[in-house]
Amino acid sequence: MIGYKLTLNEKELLSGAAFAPDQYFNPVPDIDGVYFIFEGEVEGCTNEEFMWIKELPTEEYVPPIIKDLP
Amino acid sequence: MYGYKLGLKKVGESVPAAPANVVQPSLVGNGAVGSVVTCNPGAWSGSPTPTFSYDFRIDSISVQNGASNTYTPLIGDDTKTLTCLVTATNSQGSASEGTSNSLVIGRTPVNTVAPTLSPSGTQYNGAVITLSNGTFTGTATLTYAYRWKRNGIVIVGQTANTYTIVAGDDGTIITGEVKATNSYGETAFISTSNQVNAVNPIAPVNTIAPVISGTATLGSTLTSTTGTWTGIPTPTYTYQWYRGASIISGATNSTYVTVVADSIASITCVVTATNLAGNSNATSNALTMDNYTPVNTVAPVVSGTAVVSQTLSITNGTWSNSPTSFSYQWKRGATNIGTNSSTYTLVAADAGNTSNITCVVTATNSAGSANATSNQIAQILTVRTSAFLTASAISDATIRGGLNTFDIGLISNSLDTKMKALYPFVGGTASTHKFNFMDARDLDAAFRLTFSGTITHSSNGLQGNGSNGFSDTRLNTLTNLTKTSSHLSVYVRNNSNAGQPYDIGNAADAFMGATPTYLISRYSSNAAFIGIADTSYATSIASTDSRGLWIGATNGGSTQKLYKNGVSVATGTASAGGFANNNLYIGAGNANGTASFFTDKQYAFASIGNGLTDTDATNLYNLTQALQTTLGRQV
Repeated sequence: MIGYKLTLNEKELLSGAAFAPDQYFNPVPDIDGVYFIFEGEVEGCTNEEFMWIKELPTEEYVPPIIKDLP
Repeated sequence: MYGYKLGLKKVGESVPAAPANVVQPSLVGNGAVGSVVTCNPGAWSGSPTPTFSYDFRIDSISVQNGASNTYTPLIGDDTKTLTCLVTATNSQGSASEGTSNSLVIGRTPVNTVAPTLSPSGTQYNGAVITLSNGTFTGTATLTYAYRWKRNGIVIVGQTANTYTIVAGDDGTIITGEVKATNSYGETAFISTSNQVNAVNPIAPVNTIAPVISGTATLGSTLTSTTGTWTGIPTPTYTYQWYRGASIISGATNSTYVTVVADSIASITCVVTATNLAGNSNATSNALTMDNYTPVNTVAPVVSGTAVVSQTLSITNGTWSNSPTSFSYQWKRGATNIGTNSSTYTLVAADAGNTSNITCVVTATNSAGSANATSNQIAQILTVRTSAFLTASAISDATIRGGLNTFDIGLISNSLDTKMKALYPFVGGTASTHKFNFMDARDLDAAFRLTFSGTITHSSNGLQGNGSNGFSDTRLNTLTNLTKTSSHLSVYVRNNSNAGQPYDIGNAADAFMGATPTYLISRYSSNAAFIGIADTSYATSIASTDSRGLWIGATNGGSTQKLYKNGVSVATGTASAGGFANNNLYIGAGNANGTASFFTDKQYAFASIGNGLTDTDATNLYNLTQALQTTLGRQV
């Protein structure tokens, strides 16, 4: 899956912020701890404050290895 | 008797002597102006025989003095006193003597304005004719005499100033005459300047019956002619209208305005002709009136909000023929409901998509009654459906009907009392997907959703991206649910096995593992899972397809069940530990406050609430599946 790559500073700006009514950014780390947001947030963003996300670099998102359920 | 004694003396022999009055002079006449008054000199002695002169005096003023012994009073003498001084003269001397009487000069009556009859002209038997005096001049006091003539011949015995026409006068001319009299004279009888034509009256006889005309509608004006009549004098007419054989009280004019009581009645008018000779009746033709039972021209209208507990109102509509009262019968389909009132408050039994509410209005007047049925109020919504549709601004008819049926099903199966949060995911946008059907307020406390990360909203529901999208219910497991009686459910539309997809759940640790955990998950290929656990997940089953309604529930104990499409597919035993103090997420796990284990499943329904029985689970599936089918997104 292609994601939009964030710096830590950008991640802090976006975390919990609304990109549209009732919808909030949710940056998540990849396997290397780099934070990403995804197409729905970028395409759905109507908050003028965050229009800069449309310029974010994209990169293949590799999820972190999580503990499997028993 | 006195005489004069004569002495003996030769003829021709006399003794000269001056005149001396022996018998006093007197005036002879009535003193009327224009009438001659003669002065009688009286008797005188003297020799030779004296001659006389007469001095006529008016009010002692001489007006004529000479040998003439007559005087004719002039108009100017009127009301004055006439006297005369007589002077006798012979060769021996003269002597004077006034009259023994005097006359007051007056005027005889003279007519200046002719008498008149009143009334005059054609008059009938019994008519009393009065004869006025006209005007007479003359010295008072005048008295009058009257007489009447029939065709110029005096009517014997009629000397009063009034005369009553009798039958015998028929065809004759009646006149009157007046004569005035005073002490100076009288006039001739003076005829009246007008006359009476005496006629015998003839009673009315109808020759052409009266005719009534007009329309037969309520409120129309019927008019009656008099018909044609003979009779002398010309009759006068009165009217009496009849409804059938009954008198219509007060209807005594030549026109009559129809009223409701005339409905289908035969209306006639009796004309009575009256003159001096009598009266007679004639009945008109008959007109049959229309039926004046009320007729509806504009149907009654029911208005109001089609939601249970709301009050509907009915107008009477518009009616002809002036109804005097209205009554109301509300109906649910063909079933009578409510009371005789112009309002009706919707009850739960009215809710539904096919329950049409109408009201039959009955209008009544004295002629009868008629009914009219109102418009239909269809698709009565439950209060909850209405609130949800209002909050989410959804007007789509299919969604309205589907949700209404769904809610009625919830109520009838007592499932509504077991739901704390229920998300139908209709409307296709975040702003419609967020509302909790059980409490459609845009509040955290109402458990409305907030969406984080990438969530795709469509008419089929909402769908995460498997990487960071999830929905926060704001419903805290520990504070809002009871561990031994609770449930979670999700309706999944796609068969996905990506990553470690948690459909709905939370845990008190970062890995959704060895801490209080509550979730449903199809966490790996061909395995589904429900768990209320402290240290391990309670149970899991093999499954080949994630599509359908998944319910995980405990119902009054530690036994937990997993249902797919209303059928129990696994059971387990809940651990003894408590719930996690975290919100439940949909489309991810809430790993102690952090969303993780994201899914890319598409959800068309989710619910959170109290425990469900097997029957409840089946019913919930049936209702949910019916809703999805209505919306065209069933799996």
